[in-house]
Amino acid sequence: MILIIVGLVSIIGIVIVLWYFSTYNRLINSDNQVGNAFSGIDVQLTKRYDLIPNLVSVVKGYMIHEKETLTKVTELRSRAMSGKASDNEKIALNNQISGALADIKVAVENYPNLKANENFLHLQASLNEIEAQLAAARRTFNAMVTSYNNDVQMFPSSIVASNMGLTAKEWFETTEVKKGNIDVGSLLDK
Amino acid sequence: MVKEEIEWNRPPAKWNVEVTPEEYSAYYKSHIFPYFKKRIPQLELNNFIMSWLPLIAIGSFFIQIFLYFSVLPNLMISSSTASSTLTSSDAIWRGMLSIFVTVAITSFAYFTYSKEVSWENYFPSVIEKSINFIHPNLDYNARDYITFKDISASKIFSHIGSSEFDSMQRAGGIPTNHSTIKISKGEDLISGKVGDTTIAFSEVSFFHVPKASLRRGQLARDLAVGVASLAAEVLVNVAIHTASLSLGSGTARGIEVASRPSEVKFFSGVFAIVDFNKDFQCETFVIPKSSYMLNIKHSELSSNPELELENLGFEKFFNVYTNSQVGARYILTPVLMEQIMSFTSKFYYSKRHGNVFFSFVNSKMYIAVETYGIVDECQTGSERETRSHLDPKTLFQKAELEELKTGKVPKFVQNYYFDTTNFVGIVKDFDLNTRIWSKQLKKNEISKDTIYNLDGTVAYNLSHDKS
Repeated sequence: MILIIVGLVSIIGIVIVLWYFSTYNRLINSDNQVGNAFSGIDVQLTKRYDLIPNLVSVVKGYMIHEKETLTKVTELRSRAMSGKASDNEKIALNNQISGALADIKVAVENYPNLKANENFLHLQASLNEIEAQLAAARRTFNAMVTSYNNDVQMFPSSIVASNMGLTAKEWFETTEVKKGNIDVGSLLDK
Repeated sequence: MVKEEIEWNRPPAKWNVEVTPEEYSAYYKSHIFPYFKKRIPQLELNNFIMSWLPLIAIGSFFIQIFLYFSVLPNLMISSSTASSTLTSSDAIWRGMLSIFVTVAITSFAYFTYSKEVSWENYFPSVIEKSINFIHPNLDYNARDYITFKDISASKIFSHIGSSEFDSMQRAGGIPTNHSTIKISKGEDLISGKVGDTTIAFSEVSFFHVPKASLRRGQLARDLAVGVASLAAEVLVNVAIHTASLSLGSGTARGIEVASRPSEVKFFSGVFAIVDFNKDFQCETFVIPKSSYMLNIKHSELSSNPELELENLGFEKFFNVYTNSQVGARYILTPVLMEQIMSFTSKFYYSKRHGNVFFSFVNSKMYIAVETYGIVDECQTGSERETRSHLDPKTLFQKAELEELKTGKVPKFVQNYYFDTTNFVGIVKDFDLNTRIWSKQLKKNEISKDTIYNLDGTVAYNLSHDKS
């Protein structure tokens, strides 16, 4: 009888240990996937950083009234690239960059010559491409974070996670792209 | 226009169609019907001749035998014999005369049949006229189709059949004489450019020989199986023919498979290759959950992880497999997922259609829409297909002819209108002419028959080897 109890206890113990290790490995894997997905975002962000100076240099000759936006976007870029920013700060800065770039896109509508500029068209296509890639990378990252957070927060894997010191991660959320208010009055005046 | 005439295949207002059913119906009446109206008497004559030809031949032979041997036994054929009894040479002579006259009468009837107004000539010309009307930039070729080689590039069906097939494909393509896969049929290739987007689609149907059959691959056994299958095919065709005469239209899918015991049809439908508006390196497959293909082991797709996407409605209908999570999300944007759902829903309403498969490979979008019928032009089309083994020349069904005479758009043409507008509509449905991303095509160098890669190299040429 004692032997049976000892046997059962040791079987349960072995099962628990196996479960612990497999959960541990799954969490590590999940954590790494999140990191990997974030590096995918980083690649696209870097591409966008590279594109911003070109964009600014092409549009600044045309955009007389948007100097402030252009300065802002350049400054945000330098801060995001500085290397001092944490992941969350980086996300916040890049959200601001997205907002500023959206403002520029809206403002372009007022400059027909700029819209016809071939360099600008090429840059715009590249920027759209990066934005689309960025959106894809962001969605991948968020899917990974969801899966990771489920593991970290749901019982019983949350026990292993807390032992490992893992905490839930934040999604890469974007601020709503500002469409810009169309000044109907000025359109009618023209 | 009478309202009831336009009840067919009316697309909901949100669907993009180049030509509405009303417009098409008006065009049919003014441009297509008058041409055939003149030929209806000939069509009827054709039907009469082809239906009664065996009876004419047999009847004429026996009537002559009766005449020469019973009614006119004293006919002076041979001057040497005046008696009422026939010599054996006379009998042979009279018999030969019967055969000769029979052949003459039958040949006369047969040559009165005009191939010009047969189904074979009627249907392509209706399609050609319709395509010109629906989208003038598109070319139509009745005898051409998207070959299995091109279809295999989509990798939608690469996992079908055996693991041997998979490994052969991985090793560098399928030999054309490979016995596990062979394209059985294909026709009605439509190709060209809709705006900036190159598109090609055709009806295709292909079969594979199951691995089990290949294993017992001795020559003698193969021959025996071949002979048996041929015999079975003939018997089944006769049975179908008889059944279709008594039951009217409709060929069960089961019968088609049974008619080819050594081959299993794994796809029949419409296949489209479309130039996608974004450039990508990854491979992504969107396979309907209801697909029988998901049950097949050795699936190449199963080596790719299944992707979970945010759109729950989309997730409910499709499984997505990809070798790049980010790449797949780059292609399958929330908007594109909605577009896929919307496009697929067009075919859910149609009883003729089954699953809709998508694959995104090498910057191209491939769409396969399963249809029921061997080569599906319409239900009667599949009957025509099975019947063609018995008849050297294909005919209109009696019901088809009656429908044709009314001057309204016949059912089989309606079906064709539905499919063509849906496939031409791919470009609009998926917004493929919007090219705001880095994929810029060199417009001046675009040929109607060619799909280009981003770097300007030719990715797919429709005027390639059509073997």
